[in-house]
Amino acid sequence: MSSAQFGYEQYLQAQAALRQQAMTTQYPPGYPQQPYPTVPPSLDFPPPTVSFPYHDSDDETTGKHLITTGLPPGMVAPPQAMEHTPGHIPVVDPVSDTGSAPAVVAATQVDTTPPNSAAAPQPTAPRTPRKSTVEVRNVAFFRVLRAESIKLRTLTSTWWLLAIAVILTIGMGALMGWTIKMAFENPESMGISPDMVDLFRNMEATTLATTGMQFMQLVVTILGVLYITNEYSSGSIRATLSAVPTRLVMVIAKAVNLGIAVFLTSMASLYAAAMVGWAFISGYGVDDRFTLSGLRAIAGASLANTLITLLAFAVGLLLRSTAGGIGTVLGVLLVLPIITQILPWDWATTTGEYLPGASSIWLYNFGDAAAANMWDWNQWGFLKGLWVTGAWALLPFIGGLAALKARDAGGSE
Amino acid sequence: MIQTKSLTKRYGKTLAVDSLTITVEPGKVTGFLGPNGAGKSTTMRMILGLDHPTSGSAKVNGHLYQHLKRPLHEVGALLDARALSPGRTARNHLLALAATHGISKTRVEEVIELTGLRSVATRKAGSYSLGMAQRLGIAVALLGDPKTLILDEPVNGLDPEGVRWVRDLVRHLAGLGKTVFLSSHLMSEMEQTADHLIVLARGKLLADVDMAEFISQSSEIGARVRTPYATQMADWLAQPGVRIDPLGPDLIEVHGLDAAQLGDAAATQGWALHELIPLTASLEQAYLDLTNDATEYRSESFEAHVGQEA
Ligand SMILES: Nc1ncnc2c1ncn2[C@@H]1O[C@H](COP(=O)(O)OP(=O)(O)O)[C@@H](O)[C@H]1O
Ligand SMILES: [Mg+2]
Repeated sequence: MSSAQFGYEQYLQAQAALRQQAMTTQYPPGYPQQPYPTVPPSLDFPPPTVSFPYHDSDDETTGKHLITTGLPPGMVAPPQAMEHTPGHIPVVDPVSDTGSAPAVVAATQVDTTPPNSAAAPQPTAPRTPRKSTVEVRNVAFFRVLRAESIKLRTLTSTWWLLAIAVILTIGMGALMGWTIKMAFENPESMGISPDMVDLFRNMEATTLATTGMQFMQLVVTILGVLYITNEYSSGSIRATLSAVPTRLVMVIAKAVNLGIAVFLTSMASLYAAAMVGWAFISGYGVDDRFTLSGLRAIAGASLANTLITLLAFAVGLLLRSTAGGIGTVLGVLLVLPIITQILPWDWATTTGEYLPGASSIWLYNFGDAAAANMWDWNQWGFLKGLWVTGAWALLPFIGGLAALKARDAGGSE
Repeated sequence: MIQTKSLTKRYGKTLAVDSLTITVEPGKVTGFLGPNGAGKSTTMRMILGLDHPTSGSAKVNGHLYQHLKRPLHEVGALLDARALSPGRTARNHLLALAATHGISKTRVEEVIELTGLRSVATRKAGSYSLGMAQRLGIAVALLGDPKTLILDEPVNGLDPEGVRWVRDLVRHLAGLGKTVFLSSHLMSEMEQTADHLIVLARGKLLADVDMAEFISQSSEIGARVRTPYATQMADWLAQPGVRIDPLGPDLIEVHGLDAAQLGDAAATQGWALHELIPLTASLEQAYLDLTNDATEYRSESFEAHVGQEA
C-alpha cells in the first residue's frame, strides 16, 4: 500500500527541504513568526514540491500495515509540538486484515442476546446470486386454511384451553355418574324421592355428558376470542394480512379452523364424559341408553359449543381486544341471563329465552316437549334453537367482516 | 417498482401523509428518510394495503396490493419486528406464512439459515431480543423470494455486525434487480447503503434525489487547521470565496478550501500543521437542515434545560 509517487527517495528529499526551511526560520519569543510569503495565495495550489514526511508501508516482520510519522531530524519543533511522540501507529485494515478484525468487532458490538442464549445467531453473508428456485403459488382458500390451522395449533393457549375444556367436561360427567350411583344405592340418605330415582333409571347416558356443557362453553369462548385478538395484540395481523390481503378469506379460514377444532373436541370429550359417567351406573338396572337420540344430543351440544365460540370469535374481531372480547362474551353468557331473570317484566323473561346461552340448550335438549317442537320455527325446539343461536353467531360475524374490510389493519395499538 | 399517486392519510386531526407522489425504482436501494413521525411507516402500511389511504393510491409492480395473486412473491415486508405472537416459534411463524403461498419447508429452512436463526428457530418469539426479531422479520420478508422489499427501520436493534449484514444484503438484492425500499430516521444509516433518497417530513415530500447528487449538493468544502502559524495562515488565505473562523490562538476553521489544498498550501510556506481535519458532518447536517423546519418533535438546545455554567 506504499504510495508509488512518494517513495523513500522523496521522503529524504522532503526531509532535507524541511530541515533547510526550519533552519532559516526565525522564531521570535512566544509564538513563532515567519516573514509573510511573497507568493500570492491561490485557490488552485500547484502540486507540492515539498510534503510533510509521511510514509506508509507493510511491516515485513509483523505483516501489519504501518503508518510512520515523525518530525524530520533536525527540525526544531514549536513548543506545542513537543507533545507528539514520533513512532509507529499500527493500523488494522478493516477489509483485508480478517485475522484481527473480528476481535475488534466483538469487543465493541452491542450484545442484544439475553445472557442465557448460548449460541447467538450468526448471520451468514448473502449468498451468490442463484436462479430463483423458490416455488411460490397463488394464495388460495385451502392454503390459507392450512396456514390458519398451523397458527391455531401453534398458539399456546389453544392447548391449554382445550385441555381445560376436556377435563371439565369429563370431570363433570364422572361427578354426575357418581352422584346418581349414590342415589341408587341409598336414596333416603341423599334425600332423593323415588320418582327422581325412576327418572334417573330412564335417563340417557348422554345427559350425564352434557352436564358440563356450560363450563365447557365458557372455556371455548375464550379460545374463540383469543384466536383473533391475539393477532391484534401482538401485531402479527399485519404479517397475516400482508400474506393474505383478501381479509374475508383470512377470517373465514380462521372461523372454519376454529369451528372444526371446537366441534371435534366437544364431540370427543362429551362422548368420553358419557362413557365415564356410564361406568358408574351401568350396574344398577339402567338400560343401555346409547341410543341414536343420545348421540344426536352429543352432536347437538357440540354444534352449540361451536356456534357460541364463533360468536366469541366475531366479538373479538369487532373489538380487537382480548380483555374487551372475553368480558363482553362472559357478560352475554353469564350476566345478561341473570338480569333478565331479575327484571319483573314478561318481555325480560322472553328476551332471556333468546339469549345465546339459553337458546343453545335446545340444540341438545331432546326431551319429550322439545322433541314435539323439533322442527317448529316458532316453538322452542331444535330448529328454533338452531336459528336463534345461529343468528347470534352470524350477525356479529357479518358485522365483524364489514368492519374488518373498512378499517385499517390495526395491530399497532 | 412502487408508485404512489397523491397518497394521503389522515388520522383524525393528524395528517400523517400529505399528497405523496413517488416512484421507487428497481435495481436500486431507495432510502426513505425522515424524522420520527414523518409518515414513513404509514406510507409503507398503505403500500401494503394495510391502511386505507384517505385519498390517492399506491401500487406495487403496477397493481394494487389487494389484487396481487402472490403477494409474498411480489413484496417482502418488514414493518415492525416486534409484531410476533410471543408463544410461537420462528419456524412455526414462517411455516404458517409459507403455507399461504404453498412455499416449501425447504425454503423456510433456507431463510432460517440465511438470516442466522438456526440456533433459535425453535425458541418462542417472546424470548427474542430485538436483534433476533429483526432477523426473523427479514426472514419473513425474504420468504417468497420477492421482487420488491419494503423494510421499515430494519437495522433498529441490530449489532454493528448485523447492521453491516443488512447493508450487504440489501445491496446484493438491489444488484439482482430488485426494488429495495428502506426507511430510517438516521442519515448515517443511509450514507453507505442507499442509491436514491426520498426525504419526508410531516408527511410531505422534501427531496427525491440520487444519493450522489445529494452528496455533491450538500458537501461543504473546508477543514479545521491547528497550526502555530494560524494568524499568518488566516491572513494569507483571506480572499473572496474563503471564510475563516478563528477558533483559538492556534486553531482556525477554513471554509472554501479543502483539506488537501490547505495542506499543500501550508507545505509551500513551510508551516507545520498539528491538525488538519476535513469538515465531514455535512451529509447529516444537510439532512437536518432539510428536515429542520418540518420536524414534529423538535429538541430544544441543551442550555435551556440543563442550565448554564456555574
Ligand atoms: N394508527 C394510527 N392512529 C393515529 N395516528 C397515527 C397512527 N399511525 C401513525 N399515526 C400518526 O401519524 C404520524 C406519522 O407516523 P408514522 O408513519 O409512524 O411516522 P414514522 O414512521 O415516519 O416515524 C405520526 O404523527 C403518528 O402519530
Ligand atoms: Mg416508523
